[in-house]
Amino acid sequence: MSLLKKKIVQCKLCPKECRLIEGRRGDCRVRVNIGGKLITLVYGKVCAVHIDPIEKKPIFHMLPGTPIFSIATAGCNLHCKFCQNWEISQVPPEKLNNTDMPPETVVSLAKRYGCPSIAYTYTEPVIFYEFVRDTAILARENGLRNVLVTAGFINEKPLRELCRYVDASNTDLKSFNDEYYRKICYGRLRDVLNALVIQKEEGVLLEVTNLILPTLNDSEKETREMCRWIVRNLGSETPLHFSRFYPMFKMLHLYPTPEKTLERAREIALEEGLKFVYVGNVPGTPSEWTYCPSCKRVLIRRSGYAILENNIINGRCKFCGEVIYGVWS
Amino acid sequence: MNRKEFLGIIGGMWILGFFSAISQERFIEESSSGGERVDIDELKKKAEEGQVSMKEAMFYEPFEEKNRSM
Repeated sequence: MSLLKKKIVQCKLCPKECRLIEGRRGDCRVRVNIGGKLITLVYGKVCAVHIDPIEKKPIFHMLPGTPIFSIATAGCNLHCKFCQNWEISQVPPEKLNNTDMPPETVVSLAKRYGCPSIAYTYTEPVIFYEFVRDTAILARENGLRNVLVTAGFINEKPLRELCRYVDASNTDLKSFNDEYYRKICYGRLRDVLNALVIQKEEGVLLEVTNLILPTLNDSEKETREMCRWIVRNLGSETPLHFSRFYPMFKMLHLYPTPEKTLERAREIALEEGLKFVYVGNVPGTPSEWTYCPSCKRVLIRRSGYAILENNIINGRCKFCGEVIYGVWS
Repeated sequence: MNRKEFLGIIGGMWILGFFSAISQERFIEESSSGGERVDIDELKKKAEEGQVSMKEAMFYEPFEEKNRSM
């Protein structure tokens, strides 16, 4: 028995806490037990790199209209049946053509292309944790900001450590129903809620995205409960994005989310007291604009990822002087 | 107890221990959230080609039976 136990390791990064005998990989596909050590296969091995508008993350309350240097590695610790990036998130890293891009190169490229921030995105930054952390530290030293785009399925200790270097996060709250998390995403709701609260406590600028899937998580009751929880635990200033689903991966049988469902969700969120509520993946809708919670005038007028008008000056509404939640310069 | 009976008991205990070890390993494999077997030599080759890294992870520990996962 002791011989068997000797080389078993338990990953403590995410709540799945995979127990691995030698020569086996974790559920995320990127951590392997080799010789009794847990080895990450994706440190500095980038499978996707782009310069995006920061609005694409979506981050609406930090440096609007700026480019963000965005990177990803293979793998994910969830397996959402609707994943938009499943070709890179649901495969082992050795099956992709990766580019060797250590933290120094990431930061250097971000600066060269005039990006004031770096996003760890597309797949799941939790599973390339060590790479995110080292890059984020170096980015900070070079005056750049760091943005996580995450499902928030991570244990408390590594998250608190990472938050020291993270400026903003868009965290998915995929549903307010644990059964949905377990059956559709292979995760667990309570861990995601914990991660949201921890990020708030650690001073990360937090935005939340809720992808609405027709028939699966689109009930008004669930939306209202979720909004109440956000107001109570994260604060009414927390930006909330209701995102439109398009058929993808293992959810090709569902139809795209009707716009009226998204608009109704936005109404509910505003009724519950949230101040900044957006509808996403519906280009051209006024529901993706930022409004002053005090005087109700338009603060930021958007069209897709473009900024058409910005009426926030020194972090305040140009019209009434209300302080607006976010990092604006 | 004669010699044959003694050897039979010892043999039986050895067989029980052997199957217990195998079933324990199987339990650990099946109860782990991950567990896909990898070809370590192939991974090392991929690492030499620059396709994957071989960096030690930050958050893990030797497995203890008292730590149960989800």
